[in-house]
Amino acid sequence: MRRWLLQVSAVLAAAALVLAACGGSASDGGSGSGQQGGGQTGDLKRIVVGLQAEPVTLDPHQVTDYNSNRAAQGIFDRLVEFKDESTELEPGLAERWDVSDDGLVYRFYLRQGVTFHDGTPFNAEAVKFSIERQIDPNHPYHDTGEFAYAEFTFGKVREVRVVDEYTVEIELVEPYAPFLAHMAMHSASIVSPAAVEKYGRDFSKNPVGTGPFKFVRWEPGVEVVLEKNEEYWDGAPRVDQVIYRPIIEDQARLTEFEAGALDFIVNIPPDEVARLKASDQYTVLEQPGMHVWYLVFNVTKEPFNKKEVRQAVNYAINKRAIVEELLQNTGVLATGPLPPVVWGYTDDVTQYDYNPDKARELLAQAGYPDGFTVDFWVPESGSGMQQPRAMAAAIQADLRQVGIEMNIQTFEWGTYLDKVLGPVEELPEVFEMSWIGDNGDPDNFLYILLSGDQWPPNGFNMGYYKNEQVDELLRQAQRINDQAERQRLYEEALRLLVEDAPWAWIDHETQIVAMKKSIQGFKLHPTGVFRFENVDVVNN
Amino acid sequence: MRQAGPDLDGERRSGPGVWQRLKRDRWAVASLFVLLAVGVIAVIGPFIAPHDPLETNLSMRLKPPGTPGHLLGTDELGRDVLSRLLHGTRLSVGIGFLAVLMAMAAGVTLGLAAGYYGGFFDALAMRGIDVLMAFPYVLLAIAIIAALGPGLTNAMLAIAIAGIPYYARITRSAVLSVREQEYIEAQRALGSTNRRIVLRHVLPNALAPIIVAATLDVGWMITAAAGMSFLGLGAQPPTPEWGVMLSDGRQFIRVAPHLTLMPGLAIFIVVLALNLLGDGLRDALDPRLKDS
Repeated sequence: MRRWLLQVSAVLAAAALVLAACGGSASDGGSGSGQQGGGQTGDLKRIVVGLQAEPVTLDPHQVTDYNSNRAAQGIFDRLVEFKDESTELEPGLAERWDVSDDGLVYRFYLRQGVTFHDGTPFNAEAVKFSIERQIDPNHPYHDTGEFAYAEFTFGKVREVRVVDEYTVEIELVEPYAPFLAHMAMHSASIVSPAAVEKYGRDFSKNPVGTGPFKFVRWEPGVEVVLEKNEEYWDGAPRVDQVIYRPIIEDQARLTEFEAGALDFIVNIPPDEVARLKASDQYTVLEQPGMHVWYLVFNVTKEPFNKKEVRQAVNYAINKRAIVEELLQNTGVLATGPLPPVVWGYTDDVTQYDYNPDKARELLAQAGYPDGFTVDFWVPESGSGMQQPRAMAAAIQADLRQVGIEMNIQTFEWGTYLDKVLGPVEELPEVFEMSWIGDNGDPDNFLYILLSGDQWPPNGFNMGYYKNEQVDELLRQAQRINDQAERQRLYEEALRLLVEDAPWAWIDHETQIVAMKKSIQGFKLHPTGVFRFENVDVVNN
Repeated sequence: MRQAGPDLDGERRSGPGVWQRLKRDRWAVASLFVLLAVGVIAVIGPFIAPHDPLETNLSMRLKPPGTPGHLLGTDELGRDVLSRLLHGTRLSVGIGFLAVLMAMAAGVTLGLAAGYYGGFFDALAMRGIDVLMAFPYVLLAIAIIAALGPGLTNAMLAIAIAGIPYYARITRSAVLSVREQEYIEAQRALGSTNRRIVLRHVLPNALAPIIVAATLDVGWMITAAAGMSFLGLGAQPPTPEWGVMLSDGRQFIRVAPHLTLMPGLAIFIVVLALNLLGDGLRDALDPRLKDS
């Protein structure tokens, strides 16, 4: 019996060695349903997309994460849409619109003859329903979901009025410059009222919109299947099916892609990008992202209630080494909280170039000549988090050089989000976070993330930072429509924020996707959604 | 039939015999040497490591084994893999042994008491053990860690608790057969206290299966602790624990397979040696089991 055990062990060891050595070329088999991957199967044109995680919901009003947003995007339209590759706006379900002189009333003229996938007509009532469902607690269908984005998107809405079948008016409580951009966000998607009435809370699993793709089925843990909407008002898509499959492990996703089971993947490990680019089988697309990766300082607690300490950490981290070596330039170095691709950006701010001596000096000034020890929370993974563990370890090593000891605690992503949005008393001194812009407006970074009005649960200012001067500038910038003036206000706010260092910002991740060469016409969008309506699959 | 028969100190005389039999098993002896070497490394590893296991150097990251100055290469932060493995030996192996000791202490006490006294206490203890056993150990460990927070000590505690039923059951069944022996009856007749009977006579004679179980279990505990760390529930970065190294390395399995291979091999070798030794010990301690 022992000999038998030994032989088995030897065989297993050899197998393990071989497997590891050839870099896991075998498919892991556990993910996906084992079907042969996409491309053209018979006459069917199909794109199988590998997502980072399972969508949480397909109800666009309830979406808060990247993966749900990507899967739900094609099912719906909005009144206004972002143009390809930019956050400039163009007509969507509204053919045109005008704004009253006082900036309070937006009147949208709707496209006629559009129907939802369930055959019911799209009209002004549907628009009113889609907005009021989220913001009116007395709306009969308000209890069909939790609408985390409602306050941000429609917080300034006083009333939605149906003028006639194809005209709708939205009145605001005060002028609010980013409002039109909000109308292009996922939370402003127009849903079929009949379907919400029919499915209730299960609408999130049976989404019905007017978009270029129709929902077919969702097998949790396996895939979300969409098929083309032949009656789409802007012309039917050329692809017959789009399938989204969640594959959590980056390496497993890459392996499935190279084995041919996936046609399109996200979040390629930085050290693998060069190899994919060199291959003639794949197209690798990159675009500077509306993203920022940062450490949140809990300013309610010592020692990060002191500006000098926050600045010291910014000086002590070798951010350039992290971006160039660890991330292999899959991001650009951050000089502040706002990415350079969003207007309002300026690099005329305090520069925190790597300087451990300066950091030690600042720590001594703040009364910590011998440094200190803090708890540091880190997620295992997460959309926009890049390489959370490795980056944490690199930061930890840098800070040890100036006397700051960080006790890393890692959590699974879902648990992590619950914890960092939980009670402030339970927060550690510092933790990792990232943000991906929703609409290209600086308000969507600076106000929601750093204004004193946006402490959780209102917004995502998770370090409970508050600076009266900054708050006033950000509120002012919301109320005026003149972009040059808004630019000036945001630049001013940025200068104050960077000097005050409420975070240690590291980088802005570049959006990178890889796809088979057969997929043609795909363009990345700054908001990170995938638009397959103008994409074709051409096999040679 | 236990060879010692009614001998009151039977286990002592069986000692040399055990060693004679174990010596004949080449694999067990080889494993013993491997484990001795591992033990030595656990003690002196940190002193012979060529580098600080936490020292990062991003310009020297993901170097393959054989790189000058880095015999086993470097990891994703440019840390020396050999130094991390050497430092990790004490942690990863030590956790396995400690967890077994803890589980054994609790489990054996419980099993002894339940088996010897029987009756209501036995029923109560064994139903408690049944409840513990009904939980998959990972689930139990996750629940414990959710309450205590992640960390090496808590992970060790979690797997130790999960291991208690194993020892309680083995001990109890051994005790059940021992307590009916004539020499126990003789002790009772002589007026020995329960405590004396249990500690001096029942336990020593029930020890053989417990030792075998523990030897085999250390390997299991090492794997479980590494598994906890792999899942992010145990040791936290940058601790050079083998499970953490495996977990961090898997993201680089294509460009730097040595990051998973090296800690994987380390765990493999230690656990295999423990299992072979455990096998050998079992045969040596209880020849009747040899062909079963």
